[in-house]
Amino acid sequence: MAAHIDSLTSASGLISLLDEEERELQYYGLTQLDAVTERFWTEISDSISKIEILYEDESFEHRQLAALVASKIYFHLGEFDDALSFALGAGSLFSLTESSAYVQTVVNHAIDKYIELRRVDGGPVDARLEAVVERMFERCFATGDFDQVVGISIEARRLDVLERALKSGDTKALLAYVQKDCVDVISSIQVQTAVQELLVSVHMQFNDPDYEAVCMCLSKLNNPEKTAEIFNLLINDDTNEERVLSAYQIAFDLNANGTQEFTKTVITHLYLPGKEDTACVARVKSILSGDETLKLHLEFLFRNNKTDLNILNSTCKLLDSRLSLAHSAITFANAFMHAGTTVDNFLRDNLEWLSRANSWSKFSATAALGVIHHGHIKHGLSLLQPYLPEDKMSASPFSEGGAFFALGLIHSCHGSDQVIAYLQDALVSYTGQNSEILHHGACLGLGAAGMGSGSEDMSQALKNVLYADSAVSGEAAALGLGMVMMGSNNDEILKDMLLYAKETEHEKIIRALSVGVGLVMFGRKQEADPLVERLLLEKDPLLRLGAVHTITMAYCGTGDNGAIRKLLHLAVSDVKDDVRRAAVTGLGFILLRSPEQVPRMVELLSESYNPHVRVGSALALGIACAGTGNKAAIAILEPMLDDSVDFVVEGASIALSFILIQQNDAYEPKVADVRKRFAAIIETKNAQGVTKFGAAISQGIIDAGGRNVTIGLTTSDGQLNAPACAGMLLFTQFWYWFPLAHFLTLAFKPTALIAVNANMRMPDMEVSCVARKALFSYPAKIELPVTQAPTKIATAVLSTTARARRAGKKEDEKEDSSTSAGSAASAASASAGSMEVDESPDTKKKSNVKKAASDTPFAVGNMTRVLPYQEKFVKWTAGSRYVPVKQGRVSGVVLVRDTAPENPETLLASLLPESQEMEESNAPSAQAPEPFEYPFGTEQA
Amino acid sequence: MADTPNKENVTMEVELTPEQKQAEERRILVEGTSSGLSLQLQVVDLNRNVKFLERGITASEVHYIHRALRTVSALRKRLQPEVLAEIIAAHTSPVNQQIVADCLKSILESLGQRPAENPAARSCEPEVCLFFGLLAQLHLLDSKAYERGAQLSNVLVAMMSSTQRRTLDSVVSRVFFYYSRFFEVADCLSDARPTLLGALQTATLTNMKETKAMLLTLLLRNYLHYKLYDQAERLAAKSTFPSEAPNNLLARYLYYMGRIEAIQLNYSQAQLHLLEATRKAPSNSTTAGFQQTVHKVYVIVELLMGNIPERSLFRTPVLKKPLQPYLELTQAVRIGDLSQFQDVVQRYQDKFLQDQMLVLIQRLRHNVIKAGIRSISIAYSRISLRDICLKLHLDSEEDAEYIVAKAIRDGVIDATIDHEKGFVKSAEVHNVYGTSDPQHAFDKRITFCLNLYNESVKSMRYPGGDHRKELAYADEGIKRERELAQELENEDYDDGSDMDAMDEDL
Repeated sequence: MAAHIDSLTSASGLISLLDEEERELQYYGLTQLDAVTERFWTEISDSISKIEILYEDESFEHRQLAALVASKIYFHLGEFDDALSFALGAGSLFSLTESSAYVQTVVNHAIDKYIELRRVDGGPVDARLEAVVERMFERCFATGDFDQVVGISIEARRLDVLERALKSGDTKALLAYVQKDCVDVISSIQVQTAVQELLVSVHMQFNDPDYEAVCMCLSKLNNPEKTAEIFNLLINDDTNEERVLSAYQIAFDLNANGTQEFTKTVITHLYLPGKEDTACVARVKSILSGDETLKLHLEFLFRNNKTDLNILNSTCKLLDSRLSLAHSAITFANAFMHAGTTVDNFLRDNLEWLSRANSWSKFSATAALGVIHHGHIKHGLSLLQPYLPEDKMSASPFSEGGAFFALGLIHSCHGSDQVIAYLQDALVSYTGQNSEILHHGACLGLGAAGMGSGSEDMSQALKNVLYADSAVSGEAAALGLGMVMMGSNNDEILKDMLLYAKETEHEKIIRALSVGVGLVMFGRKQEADPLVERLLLEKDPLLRLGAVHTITMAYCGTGDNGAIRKLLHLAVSDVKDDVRRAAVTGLGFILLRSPEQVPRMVELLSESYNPHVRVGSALALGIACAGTGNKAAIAILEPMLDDSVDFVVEGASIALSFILIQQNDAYEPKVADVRKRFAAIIETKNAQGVTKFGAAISQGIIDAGGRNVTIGLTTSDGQLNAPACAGMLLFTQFWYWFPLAHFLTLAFKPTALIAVNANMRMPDMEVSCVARKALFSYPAKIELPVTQAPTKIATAVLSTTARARRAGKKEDEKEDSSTSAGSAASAASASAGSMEVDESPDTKKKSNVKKAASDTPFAVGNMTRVLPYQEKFVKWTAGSRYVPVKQGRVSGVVLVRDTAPENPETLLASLLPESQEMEESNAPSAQAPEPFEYPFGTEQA
Repeated sequence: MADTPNKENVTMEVELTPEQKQAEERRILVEGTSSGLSLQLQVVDLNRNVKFLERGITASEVHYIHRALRTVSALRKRLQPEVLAEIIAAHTSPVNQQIVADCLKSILESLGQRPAENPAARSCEPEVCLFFGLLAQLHLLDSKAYERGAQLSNVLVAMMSSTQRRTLDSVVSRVFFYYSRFFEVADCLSDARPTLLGALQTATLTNMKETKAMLLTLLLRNYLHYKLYDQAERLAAKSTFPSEAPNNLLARYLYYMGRIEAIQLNYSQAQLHLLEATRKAPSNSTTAGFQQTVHKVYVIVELLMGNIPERSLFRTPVLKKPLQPYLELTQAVRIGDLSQFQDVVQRYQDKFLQDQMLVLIQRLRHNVIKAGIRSISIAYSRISLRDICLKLHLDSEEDAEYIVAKAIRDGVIDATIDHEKGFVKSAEVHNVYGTSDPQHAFDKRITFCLNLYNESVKSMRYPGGDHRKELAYADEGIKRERELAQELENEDYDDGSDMDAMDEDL
């Protein structure tokens, strides 16, 4: 028979068998056809209808065989849908165990189809299809392909299968896999929640569950009660050191990852009968409230402050502070450089400069105090006392409004009841002509302090201000509302906001509401889609802007393709430049977890004819690649510093400073160039104000927080840091309103190794770093070239001669410029004797080669800087006295266990001035700064 | 038939650029002077190709792989099996995948070389392994070791089916070509069909475009070889030829399609395809064989459609000699002389048979008669059936009546038959320019030109980042402008400062 079939040149004979009356002959024909489909599908496909008729004939005994043949033919024809439906009709004849391309393709298609059907809620799923997928699952279970099962079951929302897979495989590894890599990519929040719940339940079935992972899930599920239960369990027995330490560690992580509302509720639920007042409980409470983290960060930033004041001073000299733009630039640069360090020397030294601030630049200047003292919650109010209005009487509204904002920034995300009540009070107690400035500051402050708290009181107070329909205060109220209700997807608030956006005539308010709506939808993914669709159809560009912000925030960090597609479409098709710019910028937010994709995506946009698209792409690069030193991004941005449009240069500068923050030139040689470019832009006499502004604040950002912070839109666990993302979005609004630039503070993340023991003290200990030390050192400080002035005077020429020369020959001109350049160079080299000159590229290469040969480990002390790219080189030294509670953690706050508690500990003394007072430490005292006041005169408002 | 495939497969190789040609000539000169040096050069060449392949794999850039494959024709002429063995030995690293290692071993065996040990062996990618296989195939084909070649081809095909990578595409397609070729020379082409069909399915699923195009062409050829026109037509109708396929493959595909359609009486489509095939194929000396073969069919199809090919076609140097019989045939058809036609067919019967043209040519008899009738109807406004009978050497007046009636029905001539009086009356000649025919003709040409333009635009390749140079140039301009602006401003500033000083004095 086989030989007979091999020699066939046509299947027409077999096909004609199907026309026979006899069932036997038809069956014989089908079996033969089944064997030759591969060779004669072209021919059989002409008579596929005959086979289909046989399949549909209920009386035909072998109709399943007919279905199988038809399925194979459709497969060859590339009609996979039909192939699948006939394969389902073939029942058991369709064998899953066969490894042919036909079976594989049909099974793949079946799974796709199944997932698609399951995603539509309540959609009926063909039982036969389900059976195929079930058989597929069984096969995977049998062969141990649990990863596959996990993936398919999550996609298809089959949590029962997921649970079974988690339990049957290497459960711990699978749990970690699901938690780390799968949960975040699920686009539907319900499914995400269900998966998280499942994870918790699986975790809890162990004897010794991984409480840390459980708490992480619970914080995402927003289930503070259960979290509190776990804490109660852990600290119940305060003699069990290991459990208590891990409770502390979890508390630190929850504080970093969870919302402030969540941690607050956890605190209220912490209840141990009879043990309410043990040190242990109090400590967990203080950690959860964030006080400990802030204190440690403040200590770190103050201790390691490496700000180079010379940069700031020289910029200050070069910019004309009579212009409010230039004044603001210096204000922001100073604020960013000293963010969180509590060091305000620059302001003290430049009182005269400071006094030139007027109206809104005064507002920014006062608010800058909040940035500098960010996290200084203990003394926040007392620090700002001199600037806050006394006895509810407003004397100088701009500085007082700024002080309200500063208060909010100091307490950002950790608003104590007292501060929130104070700010809320400010919203109602001031009336009169200047009240809107005070309200502006208070609304922003309230937003920052109550970020993500979802508090009804606050939102009501803010709404009242909003409805007063004043452009200035209404704008801030709209933003504040967004911040307070961040990520809540609160229908009522959204409805109010959108309704008001259509009612009001103030563009400022509509624009602020568009940002606010985006914030409210933060992280809500698909839930935001209907809103986005509605807003996109609006005629008012400001509302379309709202759609863009909503996409940006809702899909922040997800890398969702649909969102990217929408933004790219808007970026090239919207008629309004603002919308296009925001859309391109939004790409940076969405892809912030996969920065390497962004340069390729925006490469063409960065060369757009439209400067708004160009600046948007610059910011997108900056946001997504922040702190990474991504080479491709730098390569795109560097040429943009020569752009002919001023604000593109501004955007490129800022983006470069984001990317190169904390990089030194041993690691990324471009840093030195970029820093020089910033300085050069500021020096150029006829450069546009906006360009200089950009360069100045970039100088601030690149050295932010005393060179000890990076831009962290994700936490060290890889979770999205919601306040940071919001801060970044608000920062980009500086385009319309400069004071909003201060919100960048929220995105700053100290890059520290902070090891603390059970008593929250910092032991004097070290970890080792196996790499060349120079790669991670602080950049050298610059020194001001003082001798420059006289040499310059020597080459000065009269304007008339210059004019005469210019009229002369070209060669002359060239010569002239080259000599003057030469003299400038010589002047520079003369002063360079004391300057710290960068290594020349040659020597750098050599040293790189050397580095490979000898990577001698060096010690990294507690409370010192550990850069993000340094983390992979840092190791806990084996056999040292202190052991981390969380294995492998080398940055952030790490609880350590003392393996030799009997020996006396050496602890690091706190250097912060006020903590010394409190703890009566006898360490060498740094003089506490004198309280000083801004020399603002009482302004005529 | 025997000589055409060889000529056809020459079209596989893309023509060299002038510089490459010069380099090639120089190398051949060197080869003449010292053989030891030439061996070394071969090693260098091969290594360079391997590097291209590897770079293509790592960058997943197909054009590097094409670059390596482009030199195959040059290598083929002077490749020594020893050299190939040496290179292969340099790639038999123990870290190779099992399947690659086995494959390398069988390549060596087929070359009659021993697998040599090489301590400094590099690892070998599947692409590189197949490339070696391809060279070995060529060597075996040239040295007429068909049996070993077929064995090796089987091994290679088995290996390819287990490794599916997009970068393999071009190499795989070529290996398949020689696979099929070995079967053809062994005259058992039908045995290759199941493998090719299976591979076609895989290539379609994995989206290997070049391989798919190659397999389709090979299958068509396979079917045509056994005169299975029906099967061939069905295959072609049910699969789409990938639009990204290289021109050489496309040309061959079009040729086969033309032949199939000609047999199936779809002349106008056949003519279109054949014409396109002649245009797609590169017109240089290496593709002469292909051009000749296509033109033979083309001439016949033109005749079948009732057109007379241009005389200049037969004067083309490449085509002049092989098309001689077809020229005579054309002349017979043109004047509509049936006896002369029969005479030509008789005389060149063997030749036509060899070209597989006899079937089509026999269909031409009707056309000869039609041509005769047409010339008669143009010459005479009225002619008796008897005269027609005499002029066309027909058997009877009735025959003539039937034939004329058929011609009128087919629209060959515009005339009426007067049955009672036994004559044919031609209608007045229309003015074609009064009809829409010219429009249609123009439309056809314009569409052709536009398509040609679109395709050439599509196939253009722009070097990446080249526009940056222009941008840099523009940037310089902007910088210069700025400097100028600054100088001007400085000037104002100077003046202004003078004014300030004066103010202060005051």
